[in-house]
Amino acid sequence: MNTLLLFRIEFIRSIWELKRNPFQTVTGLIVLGVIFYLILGAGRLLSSNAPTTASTASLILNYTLGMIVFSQVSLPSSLIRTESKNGMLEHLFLSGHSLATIFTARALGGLFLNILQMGVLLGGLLLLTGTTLEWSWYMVIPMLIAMISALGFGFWFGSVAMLIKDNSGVLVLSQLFLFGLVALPLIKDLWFYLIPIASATSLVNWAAFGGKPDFEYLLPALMSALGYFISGTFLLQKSLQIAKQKGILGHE
Amino acid sequence: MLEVADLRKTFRAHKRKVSALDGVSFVVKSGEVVALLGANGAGKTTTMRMIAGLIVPDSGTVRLEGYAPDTKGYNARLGVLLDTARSSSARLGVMENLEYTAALRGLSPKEAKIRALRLTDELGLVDKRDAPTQTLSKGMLSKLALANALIHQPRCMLLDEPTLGLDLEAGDALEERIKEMALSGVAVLLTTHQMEVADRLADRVVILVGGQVLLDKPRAELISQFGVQTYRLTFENSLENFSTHFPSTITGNQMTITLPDPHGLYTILDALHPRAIINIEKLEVDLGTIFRKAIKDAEVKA
Repeated sequence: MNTLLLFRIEFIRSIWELKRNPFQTVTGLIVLGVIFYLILGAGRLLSSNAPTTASTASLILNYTLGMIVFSQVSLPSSLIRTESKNGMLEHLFLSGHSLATIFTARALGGLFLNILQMGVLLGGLLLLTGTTLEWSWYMVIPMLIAMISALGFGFWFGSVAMLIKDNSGVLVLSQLFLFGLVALPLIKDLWFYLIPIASATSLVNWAAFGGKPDFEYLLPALMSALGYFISGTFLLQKSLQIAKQKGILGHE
Repeated sequence: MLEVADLRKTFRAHKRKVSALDGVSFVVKSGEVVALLGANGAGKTTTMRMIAGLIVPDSGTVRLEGYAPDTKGYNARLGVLLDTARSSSARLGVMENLEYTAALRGLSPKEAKIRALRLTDELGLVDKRDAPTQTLSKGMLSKLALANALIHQPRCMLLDEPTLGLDLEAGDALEERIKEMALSGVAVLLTTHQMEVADRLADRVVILVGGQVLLDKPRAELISQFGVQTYRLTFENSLENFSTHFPSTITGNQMTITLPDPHGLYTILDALHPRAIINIEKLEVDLGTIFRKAIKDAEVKA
C-alpha cells in the first residue's frame, strides 16, 4: 500500500514540477534540438557521402533513445545530489522505503513526462529534417527492457554518488559512452548481452526499421536488463551501508 | 522515550583513527526537552545523525519506544530536523512539499492534505501555501522544514541547531512550537550553541566533551548543584579606581562577583568594609556560565 502511494506521489510530483517550471522543459527541448543540429552538421562536415533520409532518421532515433536512456541512468545519482542539497535525503531514508524503490518510483513517475518530452523532440526533429520513421508496436517491449537496464545501470552510478556526491563529471563523460551504446547494431553473440542497455536499444532500432524482434532476442535482452537492475540494487544497498559506516550519508 | 546506550564511533581521517563518540548514553523521556550541548567537534551532530539512523555506531544501541533504528516502528515515531535552512524540495510549493513528505511517510492523500492544511495554519504559513519554496524567507523555510518533520506526528523530535540564523520573531515562534510539542508528550532532543535557547527550553542538559558525556542532569538540579553563585553589589558611591584581589566586574557603582560557594560572600563583604553597600542582588545563573565552567573544570581535570 505504501509503495503504491509512493509511486502515485512521484507521478503527481512530476506534474507539479512541470507546472511550476514549464519554461525549463521548453528551453531543455530547444537546447536538445540545437545540439542535434550541431551533431548533424558535424556529421555532414566529416562524412564524404551525402546523408540519406534513412541515416538521418536513424540518427534522430538514436539521439532520442540516448536522451531517454541518459535521463534514466543519471536519475539515481542526480536525485542523491539534489536531495542532499535540499536536505530531503534524510526524509527519503526515514520513509522506510528502500532506495531502489524510491529511485524506481521517481523514474516511473517521471517516465510519462519524459516520454512525452522525447516524443515532442522526436516529432519535431523528424518534421524539421523532413524524414520519417515507421512506428512499430514491436518497439515497445525492447524500449521497456532498455528502461529497466538503464535504471539498473543508473543504480551503479547512484552507488558511486552515495559515496562521492559530486560525480557529475563522470556522468557527462558517460553520456558519450551511452550514446555509443544505443547506436550499436544487434550482434547475435552472448557477450553482447553483457553490455548494458545495448541489446535492448539495438532491438528498438531493428524494430524501427521493419524488424520483428522475437522471443529469441527479447529474452536474453530482458535477462541482461534484470541482471543490471538486480546487481545495481545490490550495489546501491552496499554503498548505503558503507556511507552509513563512514558517516557521509546526507552530506553534500 | 528515546534511549541511547553506550554509543561508540571511530572515524578514519587521514589514515588516523579518530574517536567521535566514546560511550555516550542518555535518555529523553516523553514530554521532555533535552539540550545536547558541547563545543564544536564534541560529538553532538554525530550523536544526532546516529539516532536518525544516518550513521551506524561501532557499538551501542538506540531505542525509540523499544524500536531499533531502520525499523518501520522507529521511522514512524521519529521526526528529524537536521537543517532548518534546507529541508524541502526547491522545485515544489509549500503544500506540495508537505503532501509529498506525507506520502513518503505512508499517509493517505486525504490525510496528507488535512495535516498539511493544519500545519500550515498552525505555523503561520497559510499565505504561503501555494508559494514556490525558493521564494520563501529563511524564517518561512524553517517553518516549512519543521512542518515537514512534523507531518507524520512523530513521538520524538531531533532538532539540530533549530534557531540558527533565524531572526528574533522566527526564533521565538519556533521555540514556542518546541514547547508545545513537549507539552503534547513529544520527546525533544535539541543541539544548540545558543545557550540562551537551551536555557529557555531545556528540562535536562547533556554536555558532551570529546565524545563523552560530561554531565547529564535536569537543568534546575544542574544550576543548584554546580554551586556557582553570582551577586551584584550596588555601592553608595562610584567604584572608580577601585581594585580587588578577587575576580569581579565593576561598572559605575556596581560590582558583579561570581563565587564557588555562597559562604565566600562574607569574606568579600569584609574585604569591602567600610564602603557603603546599598543593595545585594543574587543573579540567576545562566546555562552559558555553567557550560563554560564545566568545560573549564574538565580541562583542568584532564
